[in-house]
Amino acid sequence: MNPLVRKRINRAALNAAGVAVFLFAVFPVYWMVATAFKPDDQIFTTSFIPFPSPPSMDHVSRVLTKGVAGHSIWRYLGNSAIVALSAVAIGAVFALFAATAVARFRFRFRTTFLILLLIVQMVPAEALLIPLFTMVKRLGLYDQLPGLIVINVGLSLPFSVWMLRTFVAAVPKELEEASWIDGASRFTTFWKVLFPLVAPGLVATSIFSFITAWNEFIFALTLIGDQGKYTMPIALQFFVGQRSTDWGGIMAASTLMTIPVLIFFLLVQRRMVSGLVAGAVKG
Amino acid sequence: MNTDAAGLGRGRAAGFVLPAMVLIGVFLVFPALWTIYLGLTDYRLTGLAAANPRVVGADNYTAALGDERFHRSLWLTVQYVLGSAVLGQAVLGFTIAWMLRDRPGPVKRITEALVLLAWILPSSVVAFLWIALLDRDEGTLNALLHTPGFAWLLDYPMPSIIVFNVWRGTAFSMMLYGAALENVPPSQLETARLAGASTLQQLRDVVFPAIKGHVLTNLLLISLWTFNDFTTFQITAGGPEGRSEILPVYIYNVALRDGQLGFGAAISSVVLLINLVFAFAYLRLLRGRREAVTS
Repeated sequence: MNPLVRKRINRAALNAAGVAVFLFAVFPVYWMVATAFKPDDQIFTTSFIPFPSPPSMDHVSRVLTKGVAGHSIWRYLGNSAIVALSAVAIGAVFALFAATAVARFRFRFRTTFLILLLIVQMVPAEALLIPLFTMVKRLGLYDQLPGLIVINVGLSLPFSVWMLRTFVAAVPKELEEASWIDGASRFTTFWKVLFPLVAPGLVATSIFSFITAWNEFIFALTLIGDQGKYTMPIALQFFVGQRSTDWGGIMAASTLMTIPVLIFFLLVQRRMVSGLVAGAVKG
Repeated sequence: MNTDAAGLGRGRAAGFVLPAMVLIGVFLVFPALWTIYLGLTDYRLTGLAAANPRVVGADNYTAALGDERFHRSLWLTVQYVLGSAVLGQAVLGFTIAWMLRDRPGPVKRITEALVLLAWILPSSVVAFLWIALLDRDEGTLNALLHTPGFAWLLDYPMPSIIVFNVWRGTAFSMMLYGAALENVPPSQLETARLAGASTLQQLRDVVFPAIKGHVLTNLLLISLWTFNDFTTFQITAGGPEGRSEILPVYIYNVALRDGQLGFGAAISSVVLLINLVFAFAYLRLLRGRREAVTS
């Protein structure tokens, strides 16, 4: 075959594969949004309807005004927000301190701490479920959002320190030395010199923790029994009935729940990607 | 590294680490050790053994060895990890990174964002998306293929969750390989191309040797995450009849559905052990790379 023709065929095949991968990646998410805006007769059908025609706000407005299982949707979103934001705020302080220490000093248990950080990230959630369930019950934190908050801090902390440490290490330490020589106090040096430079990394790390806590399912399912305290991932299950599933409601609520994740993610996409990659490959 | 750059004493540096260490100790290390202990008891969710669990030694482990449901779960987990992580995510992730490597910035960034979307969405949301896709009665796939009434999740539960996890997790491999490919010297690729090497030869002789470390790191991490993945619980819950009951789901079902907390904890300890083996392999890999850089 003529090499030029072959090259063109190769190129076409490559582009076709690209489009296929693209559709595979995007389709389920597109379908979520499309279904949220479809009236019921376009959802419960055996024919393929590519987009809502005409779009309907029925499900979105029903979910927003009536909620599900006797509570407003804002209640569940609020519970999720309380848990995720508190966990991120507490975790950010702890992670910043620990990451600074690990990236800047050689102290006695530094290596031990680093190895511990790595190993605990490998502990599967199911292995912790039974003891944490028992612990939370004995501490009287069962059915309490604070219980879920501390567990989320604990779960995200190892990875936060691990990722943040590469951002701290990237700040040239001559800057801190200069500030120190100029007579700035220890606190001033940390707060006015190091912190502003690490802040973008802290934001990226925090957003990653936020997404993890916002999405967390298994502990929220096990540690909360009171419906009024359910977080959004658990509340979604209410749309599944004994006989039929309210697909319009599920997709509308899912779309709502996805919006904060999406906004935060798009804000820090590049930095989060570089932080994740650096965290994974640097020892 | 040895200078006190941030202006803190060494003692204070240790103090900085302490709060994080305490939290990790209380919420991760201590429960993990407790799990190992519970695995040696007959602790149950309800009944007599709920109030006063007895230490039964290795009974749970010998029971697990003879339990066919556990054997099947182990085998399904191997299929899940090899199929969705090693073959699916790693290969697809590399392919996307390779195709994107010399595309213009915006195309690259948008494609990356779209693939990453699947990775950051809440697991409860993506689970519903896939049920909607594969549902027997109103499923989108059946509507697309004109196969009404085909029960993907009931007839092919394992292939379904494998494809699902490829969709869900490919983003990480894509990111890692994307970063790795930036380190392959373009001049070497150019030389190989001019010498008439085909794409496959270029990949084998130029690209792969340069990114070997990244490939290993990636395989290790995605295998680990897939091994511990609980999302499929929300799609098939291990069913039908346990035909997609991978280990995390098996543990949940045994411990919290059947109430055998002690037995569940024993299986958790086995999973913990397997994870530790992975963790040490990863650690060695990182250390090896650091030594290669400094020497």
